Amino acid sequence: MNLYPAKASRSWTVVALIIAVIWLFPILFALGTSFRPLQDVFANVVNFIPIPPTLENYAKLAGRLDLPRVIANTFSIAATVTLLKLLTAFLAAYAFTYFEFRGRNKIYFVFLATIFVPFTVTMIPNYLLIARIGLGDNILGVILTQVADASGILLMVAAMREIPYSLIESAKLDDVSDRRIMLDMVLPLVRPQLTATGIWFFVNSWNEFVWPSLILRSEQSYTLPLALQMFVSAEGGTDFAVAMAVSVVTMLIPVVLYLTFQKYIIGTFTGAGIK
Amino acid sequence: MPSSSDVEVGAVASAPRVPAAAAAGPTPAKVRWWANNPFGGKVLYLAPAGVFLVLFVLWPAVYTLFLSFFDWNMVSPKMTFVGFDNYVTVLSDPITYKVLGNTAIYIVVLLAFNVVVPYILAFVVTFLIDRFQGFLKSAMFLPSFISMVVGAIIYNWLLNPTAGPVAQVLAVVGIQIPNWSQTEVLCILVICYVTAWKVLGYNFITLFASMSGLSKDVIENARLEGIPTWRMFRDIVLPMSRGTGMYVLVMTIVTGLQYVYTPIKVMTQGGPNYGSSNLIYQAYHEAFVVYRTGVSASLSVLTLILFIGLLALAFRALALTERGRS
Amino acid sequence: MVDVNLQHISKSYGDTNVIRDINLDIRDGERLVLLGPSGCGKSTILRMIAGFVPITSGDLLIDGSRVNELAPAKRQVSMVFQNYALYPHMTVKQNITYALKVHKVPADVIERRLAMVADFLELTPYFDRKPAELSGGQQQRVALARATVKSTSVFLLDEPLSNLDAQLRVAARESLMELHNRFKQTMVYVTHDQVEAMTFGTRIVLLRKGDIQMADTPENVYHRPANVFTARFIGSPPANILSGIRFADDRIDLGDGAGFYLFRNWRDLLGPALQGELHLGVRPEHVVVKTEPHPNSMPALVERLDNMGATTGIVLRVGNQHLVASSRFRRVEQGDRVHVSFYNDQLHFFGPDERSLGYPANVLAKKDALGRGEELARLIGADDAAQAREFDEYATSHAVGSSGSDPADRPSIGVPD
Repeated sequence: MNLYPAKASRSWTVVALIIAVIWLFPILFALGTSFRPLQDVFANVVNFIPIPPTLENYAKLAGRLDLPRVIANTFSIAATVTLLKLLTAFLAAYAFTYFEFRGRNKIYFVFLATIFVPFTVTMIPNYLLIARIGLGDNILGVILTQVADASGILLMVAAMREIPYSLIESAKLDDVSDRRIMLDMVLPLVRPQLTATGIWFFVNSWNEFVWPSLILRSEQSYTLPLALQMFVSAEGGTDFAVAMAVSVVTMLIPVVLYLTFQKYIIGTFTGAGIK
Repeated sequence: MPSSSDVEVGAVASAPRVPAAAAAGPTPAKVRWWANNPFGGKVLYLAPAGVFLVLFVLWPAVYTLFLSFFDWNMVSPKMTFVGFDNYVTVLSDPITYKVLGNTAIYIVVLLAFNVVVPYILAFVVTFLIDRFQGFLKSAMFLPSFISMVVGAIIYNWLLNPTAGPVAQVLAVVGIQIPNWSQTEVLCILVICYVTAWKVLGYNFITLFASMSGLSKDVIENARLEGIPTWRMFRDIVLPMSRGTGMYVLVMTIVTGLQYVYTPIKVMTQGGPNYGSSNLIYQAYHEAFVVYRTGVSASLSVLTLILFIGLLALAFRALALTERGRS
Repeated sequence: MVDVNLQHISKSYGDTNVIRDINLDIRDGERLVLLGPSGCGKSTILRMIAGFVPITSGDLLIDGSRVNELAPAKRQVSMVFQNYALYPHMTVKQNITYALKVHKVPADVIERRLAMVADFLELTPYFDRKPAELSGGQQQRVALARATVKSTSVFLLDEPLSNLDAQLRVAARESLMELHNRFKQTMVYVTHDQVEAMTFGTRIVLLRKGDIQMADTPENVYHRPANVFTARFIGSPPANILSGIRFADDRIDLGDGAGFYLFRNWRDLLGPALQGELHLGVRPEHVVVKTEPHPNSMPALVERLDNMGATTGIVLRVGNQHLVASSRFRRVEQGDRVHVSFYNDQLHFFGPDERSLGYPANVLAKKDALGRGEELARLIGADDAAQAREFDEYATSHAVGSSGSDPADRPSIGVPD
């Protein structure tokens, strides 16, 4: 929808495009710089276009870091967290949407209230708990606490409320069991939102820094955002071009996922998402 | 009470006969053991999420409250009960007030970057522009998928006051950028900007969706009535998208202070002289850098109280504007 | 005092033409109804007049000057939307006065206009309510008030009654008419409801797929449809359109030997055109059904009866054609064999291109087209003594209508003097 004739909107179009370019610039800069030789990077910081491109930063990175291992760590954490979060959120959302039981609204309120608890409130006890059950410096310890997130319930409840209730009622008239209704009707109908939410969870876990930085100590168990820190010193550091290479590796999968599924994702976050 | 045969005789007239099996109710084989608990079988659906939330959010919150009454360093076997001493320590420490002040600055700047700017941008893209909407949405939302560590590292270099590209370009026109990481307030602005880079897109998309969903007829009517752009924003779009706006506002306050933790950790480590630290970072600092577990816990408890207060205030303000309009 | 002129207006989206070269002069103070099925372009035309939809080609004149590029706000039109488009967060009073305040109309002027309009539409008691606290009818009146208070001369209404239930709709339409009588705006009214169109419009523009099918008074749209589409669209139940009929030997042949004698007034008018296949339109209320043969009648079979309250729809098979008659009495039953004929002055002939072939002078001359004359006389168009004689001659030579029954029947057809 556009309120005014093209003339009036032209300057706003330019302003919006400039903001978009400013927003994209750091990504392009990191991408370009990661393919430039280190001495060039410091000789000319402004030009970030890699001509000719070099892989020397990536080679250096591979020498300093067990990259496959780090990527495998990051991936297994993100994948497990995503699956567990989707499963728990889907089941809970189903109960909150379709079941009548005593205290339903109160329990729902308590569940959602956990979203507002700042992580510092839980960080010490969680740290102690993970250490006590012997999962310190173990990716399992990172996974467990990340699953405790009620935002998936919120998104799934919103998705399920979009389903016309008459569908469920008609299935109940046909004496279909709750389990079958859930698996044969609700699950396929919320699949788009489930997929988008899953991608969002995966990417967030992939990028997670705070909690892994508390739990994971050895390079063996590092994730990509943690490994990235190895290449940073306060002033940007001499390893800057290598840091850009790690950055590119870190953002590669999330960005590819985003570009592939963006219609889905934007649709879910804007459609049913938050009202 | 009539016997069953009496009922049959009395009922012959017209009532359809019910098969005996169905009349006896559900077959016993279908009743599971867990169906007898107060929630019925439904508890099994809530249990997985519930276990995780209780174990890793609710119980730890209570335990943090408990820890805030003890003097402890997290590793020593000895925990000393000190009552409210940790709170006294926290509240009599000038650093706490500096951090509180920083927190206030963070909130104000985050609200400006992550609520005001996306609100205006969403309005512009929804109503004032007729091309590139798809590209703008994609471009603005993309950084939300990128690690905050990556963002912090790239900006650390881009904005490096001596060697960074921005400084070098500005040097050509004779502008020298200040050493922001060592300058109070300025470091908070930069950290908030980096956070906005990641978070703004999400808020923008949410607000954009809300505005595109506004009744087209109402907007067209306003257009027909010749309402100027600014009044259109203030009098019509802003109040009509208030629900989503409130959501964005609350989430910005709650998550924003946590989001800035990563750029603080990567870019300034809370410096200079606690100049970029906030309540969240300070609690981390107390717990994992100087190992004052009790102090950290009491800071966290205070943070939680502050959050609850801010939320209450936000909802109160919403209720007030609602009443003020009617 | 404002005219709106559409000159060769077209609208296309890419290769799709939604409006094709439309010419329409909307005259000052008239109530023009744009009528048509969904997708006919009626709303597009309205929104082009308002300025929400850019015009692909052609000129739009308001009050004599070209406004194609003018912003909606500058066109001096007001609009009532289907869902009223009230500002949900403003009270009734704020809704009505908001635009005036923004445009810095002096407060006393606002108050005066508000009082006048609100009083007229009986809205004063609801000033402090929000739209959500009003009934549909009240919301609709607020929308009317908001459009009226601007004192523009062109009033655009986009299906303003369609969200009201049937009973409210009549009252709302009346208040709309009163509003028009009071303020004499030029009203352009979009609807898909022909009853609304017939009752509200002083002129109806019937649209189909972006073309104007007919633009005329409600009476003419109903009684003198310009083409098959118009005849079919207007009227409930719709007019019967008998297609593939032929004219031969002074008779209209409906296939399977069924047919009727066509009088000279029609033959003289249509003579040369009547070669080849034609379409004959006849409205259900102009089909006469009798259990006995009667002058110029054809045997028919009752296939079904549809109860429509005041009337009964009789679905008939005549020759190889199906048609519907409506009758106030239910004197026949399914499966009955009956005899049908058509009122001679209520026939509509359309050529192969589906356009009307026109009407004989004596039919056009009839003033009271709606009035029911003496039935038998009308059956043969016998307001004309010459026609009565003509039919007598024809009937004698062809033995039509009485088909062997008592010939005394025939002379009893009175010729009113």
